[in-house]
Amino acid sequence: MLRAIEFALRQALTNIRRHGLMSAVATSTVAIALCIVGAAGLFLLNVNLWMQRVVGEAEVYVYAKQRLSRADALALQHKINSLPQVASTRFVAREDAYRELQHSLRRSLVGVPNPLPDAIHVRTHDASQVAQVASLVRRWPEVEMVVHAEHTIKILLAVRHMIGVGSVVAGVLLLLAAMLIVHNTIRLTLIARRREIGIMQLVGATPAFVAAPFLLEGAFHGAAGAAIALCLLVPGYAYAHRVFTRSLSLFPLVPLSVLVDCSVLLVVGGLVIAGAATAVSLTRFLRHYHPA
Amino acid sequence: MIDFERVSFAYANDIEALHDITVHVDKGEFVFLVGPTGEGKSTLLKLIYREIVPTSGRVIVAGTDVGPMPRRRVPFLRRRIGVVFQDFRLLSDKTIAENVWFALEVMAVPRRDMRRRTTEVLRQVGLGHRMDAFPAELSAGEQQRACIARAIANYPPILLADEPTGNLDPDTSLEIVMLLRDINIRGATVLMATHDKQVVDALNKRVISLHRGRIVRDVPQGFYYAACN
Repeated sequence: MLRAIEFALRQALTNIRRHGLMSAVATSTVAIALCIVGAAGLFLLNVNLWMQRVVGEAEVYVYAKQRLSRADALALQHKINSLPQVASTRFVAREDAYRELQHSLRRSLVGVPNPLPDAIHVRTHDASQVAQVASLVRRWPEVEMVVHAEHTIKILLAVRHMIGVGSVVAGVLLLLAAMLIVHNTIRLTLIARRREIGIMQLVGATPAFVAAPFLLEGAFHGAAGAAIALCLLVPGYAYAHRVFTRSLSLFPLVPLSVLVDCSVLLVVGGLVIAGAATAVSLTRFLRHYHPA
Repeated sequence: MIDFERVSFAYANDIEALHDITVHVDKGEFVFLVGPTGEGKSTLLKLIYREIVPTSGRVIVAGTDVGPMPRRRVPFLRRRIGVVFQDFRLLSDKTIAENVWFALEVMAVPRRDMRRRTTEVLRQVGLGHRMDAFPAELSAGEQQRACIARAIANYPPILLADEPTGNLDPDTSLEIVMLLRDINIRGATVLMATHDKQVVDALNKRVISLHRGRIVRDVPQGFYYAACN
C-alpha cells in the first residue's frame, strides 16, 4: 500500500514537472476562479451585513388615537408585542415626542398645544414582515396612523436577492469553467501518457493504481490553485478591512475571522472541483482506451 | 492451459474476426498462429489476455473462463501472461532496466526481488551489458529483447507474442524466435502470431493456420506453407 502511494506520488510529481506549462495553466485557472468566487463571497457577506443593518433598523411607527388614555396606549403596545412577527417595541409618550420635536426644531413651542399622539415603535424579526405587521395594525380601532418605509425596504430586499443570485450564478459558471480546464489538462496528460498507461494495464496494473497519480495531480492543481487564491484574497481583504475601519467607520466590514472559514472553503472547493474534473476525465478515458 | 470452446468474435461494425474457434493448447507448448494480416491472429491473442471478450463461446485460461471475469480481476490475470508486441512498446524516457523495473513495480513485486529479477531477465535475453541504455540507443533486435525481458519479468506461465519479428531483419528475427524457444524450454507456454515463414520453419513446432477467422489447419509439428496449404 505504502509503495503504491509512493509510486503514485513519484509519477504525479514527474508528470507535473514534465508538463509544467499545462500544469501552470490548470493551477492558475483554478486560482483565478477561486479568487473571483472568494472575492464575490466576501463582497456578498459584507453587502448582506450592510443590508441587514439598514433593513434591520427599519421600524413601523404606530400612532395611537389622540383620545386614547395612557393606559389604553400601553395596552395597545402590549397587544402589538404579542404579535408573533414582532421582535420588540418601544413606547414613545406624547410628551417625550413633543420635547424631541422642540429639540429638533431648536425652538420653544411654549403656548402651542401638543398635537402629537402616543406612539409605539415596532421592530419585526425580519424586515420582510414590516409590511405585514403594518397592514394588520392599521385596521385596529385604537390606531390613528401607521408609518413605515415599505417601498425602500422592498427595494433593498430585491437588491440583496439580486446580488445573492448573481453571485451564485457567476460563481457556479466560474467553477464550471475551472473544472472544464482541469478536465482538459488531465485529458491531455492522459493522451500524452497513453503508451505508459497501456503498458501498465497490460502488465496488470489495477485501475486504482493507474488512476492514483492522475488523481494526485488533480488534487495538486486544486490545492495549489486554492493556495494562490488565498495569497491574493487574505492580504486584499485585510487591507480593505483596515481602510474601512479607519476611514469609513459607518460601513464596518465583516470581521477578519471570516477569512478562516473562507480559507477552509476555498481549499475544500479547490480539491473538490479539481478532483471531480480529474475523476470525470479519467473515467471517460479509461473506459474508452484499450492498450492494444 | 488455454482452451477456446466454439469461440466467435465480431467487432462493433459486425465484421466477424473469429468464427467458431475450438482449440486446446497444453501447458509448455510452443504454438505458431500463422496467416496473412487481418485473419484473426491478434484477435485470438487479445481474447487470451482479455483485452476483448468473445461474442460467443468460452475462452479458458489456466482453468478460468476469462469472458465473464469481472474487470477488477483482469489485472491479476494479466500478471500471469506476458505480452510481446511488434512495436516493442518501451517507455522512451526510461532505461531498459527501468522499463523492466516499472513493470515489476506495477505488478507489486517485492522491492528486494526487483533488482535481482531485472538483472536476471535482462541477462537471460542477452542485454546484461545494456541495462542502462535508453531504447533509442538500442537496435530494433535489442529493443525487442528488452520487450521480452519485461514480459517475462514476473515469470508468467503464458507468453503471447504478436508479430514480434515484424520489424526485424531475418537474422535478428531468428535470434528472437530462438530466445522465445528458450523461454518455452524453461516451462512457459508460448503462442506466437506471425506471418514470417522463416521463423516458423526454423522451429518446426505446432502451427495453427487462420483464414478469414477460421482455423483451417492445425498440425503438431509443421512448416509455414504446409500449414497454409
